[in-house]
Amino acid sequence: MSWLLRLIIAAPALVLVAAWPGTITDPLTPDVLLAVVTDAVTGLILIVAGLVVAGRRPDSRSGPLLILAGYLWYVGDLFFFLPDASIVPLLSFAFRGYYDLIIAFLILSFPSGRLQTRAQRIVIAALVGAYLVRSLGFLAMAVPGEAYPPNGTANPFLLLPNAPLELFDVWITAFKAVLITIVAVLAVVRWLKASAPARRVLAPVLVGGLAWAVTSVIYKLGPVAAVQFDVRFPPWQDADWWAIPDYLLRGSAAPVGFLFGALLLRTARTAVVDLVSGFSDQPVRRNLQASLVKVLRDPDLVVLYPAAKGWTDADGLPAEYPVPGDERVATPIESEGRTVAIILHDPSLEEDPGLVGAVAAAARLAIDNERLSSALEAQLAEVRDSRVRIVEGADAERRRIERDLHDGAQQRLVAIAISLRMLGDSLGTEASPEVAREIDLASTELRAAIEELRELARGLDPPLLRESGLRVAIEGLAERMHVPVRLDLKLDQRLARSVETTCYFVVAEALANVAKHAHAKTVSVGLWRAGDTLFVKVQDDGRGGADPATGSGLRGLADRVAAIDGHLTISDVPGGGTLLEAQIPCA
Amino acid sequence: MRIVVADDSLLLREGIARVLEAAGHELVGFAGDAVDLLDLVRGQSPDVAIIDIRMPPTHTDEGLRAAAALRQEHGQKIGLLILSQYVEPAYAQQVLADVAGGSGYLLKERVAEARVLADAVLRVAAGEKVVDPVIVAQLLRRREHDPLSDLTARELEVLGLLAEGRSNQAISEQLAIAGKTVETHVNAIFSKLGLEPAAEDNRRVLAVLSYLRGRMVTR
Repeated sequence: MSWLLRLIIAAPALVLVAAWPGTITDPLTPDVLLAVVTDAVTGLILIVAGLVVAGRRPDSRSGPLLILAGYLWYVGDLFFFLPDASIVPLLSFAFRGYYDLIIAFLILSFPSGRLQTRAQRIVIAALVGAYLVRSLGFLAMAVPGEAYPPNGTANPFLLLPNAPLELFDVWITAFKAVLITIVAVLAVVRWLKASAPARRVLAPVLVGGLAWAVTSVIYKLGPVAAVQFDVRFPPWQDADWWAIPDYLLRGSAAPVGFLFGALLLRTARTAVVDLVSGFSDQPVRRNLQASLVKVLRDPDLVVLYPAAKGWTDADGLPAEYPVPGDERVATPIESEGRTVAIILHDPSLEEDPGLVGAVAAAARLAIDNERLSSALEAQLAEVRDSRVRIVEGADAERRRIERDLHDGAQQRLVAIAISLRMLGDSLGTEASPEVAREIDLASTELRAAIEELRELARGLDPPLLRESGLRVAIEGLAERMHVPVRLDLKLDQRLARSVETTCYFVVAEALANVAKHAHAKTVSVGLWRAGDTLFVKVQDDGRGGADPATGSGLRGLADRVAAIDGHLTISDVPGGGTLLEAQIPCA
Repeated sequence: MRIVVADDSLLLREGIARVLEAAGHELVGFAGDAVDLLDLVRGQSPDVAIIDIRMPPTHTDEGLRAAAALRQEHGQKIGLLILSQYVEPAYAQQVLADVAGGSGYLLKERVAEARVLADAVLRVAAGEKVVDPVIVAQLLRRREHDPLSDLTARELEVLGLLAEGRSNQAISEQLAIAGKTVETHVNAIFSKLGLEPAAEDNRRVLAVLSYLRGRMVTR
């Protein structure tokens, strides 16, 4: 509700109150002033409470009804303003006090604005009837100048000029007092029957309502006592101290109660925000239910999730639903056209459909979020697994090729070399120099081929790594370097094959890069384990400038390390050189 | 000389057999894996076992372990010659580590060089050490600030032959220099490299190899 609209709604009352001092003809004694101000303020309190409730609960009729009650409060004061305007004083007298109807109604129906039980409906209907009968009776019986002061000029509705209006009014008022007492009793009953979350909101309504009911009954019994029994009731009726509480309690206690009730509803809604922001905690399911219980203050609240057959609770255990005789209300949470969960909660929460709607929306967010993030996680895990499989597959393939080379081509080449040598020997001195030279040439070529194959096989699957582990294998790599290598290998235990292989290839590729590009004088290799992480560090004093983005070897290395959840960085060392660092999980 | 050959490749076994028989050795049996080899040696008591480093079941370094088992079982009576496709000084050093007996580490392609193989067989049978020249060459590769730079060309030559497991006698024959001269070179090498002089040839090979390997990296 915009502030402008609120202002427009409140404006007539404000004008009325502002104009009030000008209408006072009596001398402005403190007593008079006090009575006037209290009267004016009471109506404003009703209107303000109505505006607040309407703002907090736009979907409930409570707000507009309270605003209406505020204006009805002033009906009884109209004759002050327009004392000479024909029938206005008459109507003002005939229809004053209707705000009580609204307050009685709201005490039994706040915050939804709907009566729940038959008794409530009957008593409210009776009250409405009593007010209407009084108004009509008044119109029919009020003789101008007698029944209502001070300057009434005419009563066009006058039917029974000789009827005992005063007696009629007294008994109707007594009847109203009885009905208001019943309303108070019903309000207490309603509160006692309410669930914990509902009691919380209804408590201020009940307190305000009872204050209203007691003061109203006292007020209404005054004329009855005076006319019928000729006693002053209450005895302190005319005491100075009574005027203010009398007015304020009758007019304002109930609206202030509604105001507080609405603020408590508001608090529950604010809690929904906390609910949403607290959803990051995992697991969502148990957390969701706990949060809802807390936010809605409903210890019996549960969240159920649809299973293949029936329902499961937050712990994933089968849950019975619906349970016969269970008074809880189910609010479904729907996402993309299907029910993803239901919230079983106290029926009183239904009285605030906005709250339940907000909570359901928040819960849907949380459940959707969990669903999406678990789908994403599953996808990520799948990608991670497939990356590991690709690396492992490549490693297995390397081993297979190495073995094929070793058992196949390498053996054959050696066998051919033997045959060739035997052939040369058997020819002996009979061979022509050309043939002997050809055989020598072929032998040399064969040796070169064998050597090349050996190097190829070694790069595919270093035997030292498999048999003796990382430290020995890295020493083997270092021995083959042309630049001096400083080794700091603090690792003697064996690790998982994927970790060892990855680490070995990291060092091998780093050293190969140093040999090829770095123009380094020395290179150092560090290897150590801290907790569940293996640290590898290769640093040279060359010219630097290695970039994984350009070198496919380094890029592949980074991918390989990442495949087993490791991390590889390559950086230039200030003053020259390249630093390669890798962290590889090795739990 | 009575020889057994352990190699899971039929092709190689036959090739080796032809080379050895041509050299006048007697082949007393073949084995396809380490278990067969141990049985065979027990039955035949050969002078030399030629063992492929890589055999079933894991196809890695079963040969080394089989050699160690043979040394354990038969002591110095048997010469052990490992054939390998791997140019790994670490393996060579492992083979030489059992100081007492004759043992060697040769690349497989040496089989085609009948004289080299025959010579190696004789040497391991005689209790000497044999290291493949390719491995020694890798170890002798020089770097900056290398202590080897202090050696003369002749001393480097002698060092290489020492690392291959040659005796002073063999070195003097190969380089056609006097035995005294070889001794002088050896002493110079040991003093320049700061090595303790070794009384015995097999220990000397191991010391040289360890030194050469060790200087390649700083630990």
